[in-house]
Amino acid sequence: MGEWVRVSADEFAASETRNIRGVAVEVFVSPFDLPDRVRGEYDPQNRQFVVEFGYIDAPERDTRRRKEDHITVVQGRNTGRIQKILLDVDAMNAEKVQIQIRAAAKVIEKLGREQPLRATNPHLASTQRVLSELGPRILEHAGGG
Amino acid sequence: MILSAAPEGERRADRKLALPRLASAVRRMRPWSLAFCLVNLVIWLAVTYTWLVGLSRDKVLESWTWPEQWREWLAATSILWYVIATVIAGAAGWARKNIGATAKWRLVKELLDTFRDELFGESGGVHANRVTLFRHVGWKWAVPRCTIHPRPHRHWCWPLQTGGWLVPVVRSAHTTQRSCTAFRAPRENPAGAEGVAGAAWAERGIIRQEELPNLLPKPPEQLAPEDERIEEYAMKARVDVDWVRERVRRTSSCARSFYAIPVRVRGNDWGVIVVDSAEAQLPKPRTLRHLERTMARLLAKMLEDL
Repeated sequence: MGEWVRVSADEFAASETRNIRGVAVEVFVSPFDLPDRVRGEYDPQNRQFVVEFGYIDAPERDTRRRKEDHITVVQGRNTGRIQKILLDVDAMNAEKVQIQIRAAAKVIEKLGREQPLRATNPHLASTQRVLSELGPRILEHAGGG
Repeated sequence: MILSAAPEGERRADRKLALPRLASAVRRMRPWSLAFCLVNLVIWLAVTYTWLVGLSRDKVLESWTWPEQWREWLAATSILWYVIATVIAGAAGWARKNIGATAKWRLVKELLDTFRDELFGESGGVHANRVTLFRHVGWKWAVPRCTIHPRPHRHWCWPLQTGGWLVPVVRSAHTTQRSCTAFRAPRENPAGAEGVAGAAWAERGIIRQEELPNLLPKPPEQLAPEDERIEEYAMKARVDVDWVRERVRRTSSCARSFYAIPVRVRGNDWGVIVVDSAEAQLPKPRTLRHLERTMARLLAKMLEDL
C-alpha cells in the first residue's frame, strides 16, 4: 500500500449547531470519527484505485458497501465512518484518479444528506474535506500502478 | 445506488484467514490470559465429560479401561464434580476478567489525571476541575441517590433500572470518587438522553457547554428553590430541575462548564468522557482538541479488552 498521509485535526475537524432539548449547541466531530490518516493504492487486478482511511481505534469489521456509478464507498455498519473508497479506473493515471477522487467527494456529500439523524455527524463533512484537500498528496504517496 | 454486503470472494478469503488470525491472536496474548484460557478450556472439557457421565453413566463406564475403583468413585461423585467444576470455571473467568483489569483501570485513571493536569494545572483545586469516564450499560441497580430521576419512571423495573445508562467508572484525582450519579442514555430513544454526557452519547459528537449559571455564589447565598437560575441551569445541563434543586439545597458542587467526548471501542459506542469545571470558561478549543485526540487514542487501546 502507499504511504499514510497524516490528517490534522485542527484543519479538518468540522462542527455543526444542533438544537438539543431546546438548547442550541455546537457539536464537534468526535476524535473517533475524524480520519487520522489516509492512503491510496492502485489495484491492477480489480482495476481500482483504493483510498483507505485510518481512525484512532481498531477498524470495524462489519461494513456495508454503496456503489454509485464507478465509485464504491465502504462504511462501518455501526458508525457510518468511511473506511475505503474504491474508484474504478482503467490504469494508474493521476489525472483520471484525481477526477474520480473529486467525484467521490461529491458522493460523500450526498451520503451526508441521506443518512438518518443519528448518523449525520459532522464526520462525513470532515471526511469529504480530507478527500478533496488531500487528494493530490494521496496520489503523490500512492502505491501500486 | 446499490447497497450490498461484502462480496462472496472477500467472505471466502476472510474464512481462509480465520485460522492464521486465531494463531496470531494466541501469539499476542499475555501469558496470564493464555493460562486462564487454557484453564478454562480444560475445565470446560471436564465439565462436559462429567455431565456426559451423569447422563449416560453406564455407557461411558463400560468403555473405560481405568481400574474398577476409579470408575466407581467417579460415577458416585459425578454430581459433586459437576458442581466443583462449575464453581472453578466461574472463579477462573472472574479472575481472568479482573486480575489483569485492575492494572488497566489504574492506567486509565492515570490517563484521566494526566489529561486533567494538562488542561487545568493547579488552578482551582482538583475537585473543581474533573475528568470522569462514564460507561454505557443496559441496566443498573436502582439506587435512588445515584440517579438524576428522583421520581419513579417507566424505565424502572425494581430493583433494576433498565433502558440504557451512563454510569461513572473512573474519575480523575482523589476527591468525589464515591459519586454514582448516572445519566439516562436509551439506545431506542436517543432524544431522551440526559445530561451533557447523554447528549454527547446520543449525538455521537463532542458537546461543549459553557457559561452555566453560578448556583453556589460567593459569599454564600442560599438560592430559593424557585430561583430562575436553577431552571436555566437544568435546561442547559439537560438534567432534572428537582435534582438540581436538591444539589443546591445540599450545597453540592454544580459545574459551570462541561466538555463531553463520546468514546468508541472497535467501532462500538463504549461511553463518554466528561470534563467539568467550576470555571465558566473551558480551555481553548485548540488545546482541548490536541489533548483529547492523544487521550482518545490511548484510551481506545486500553479499553479494548476491559
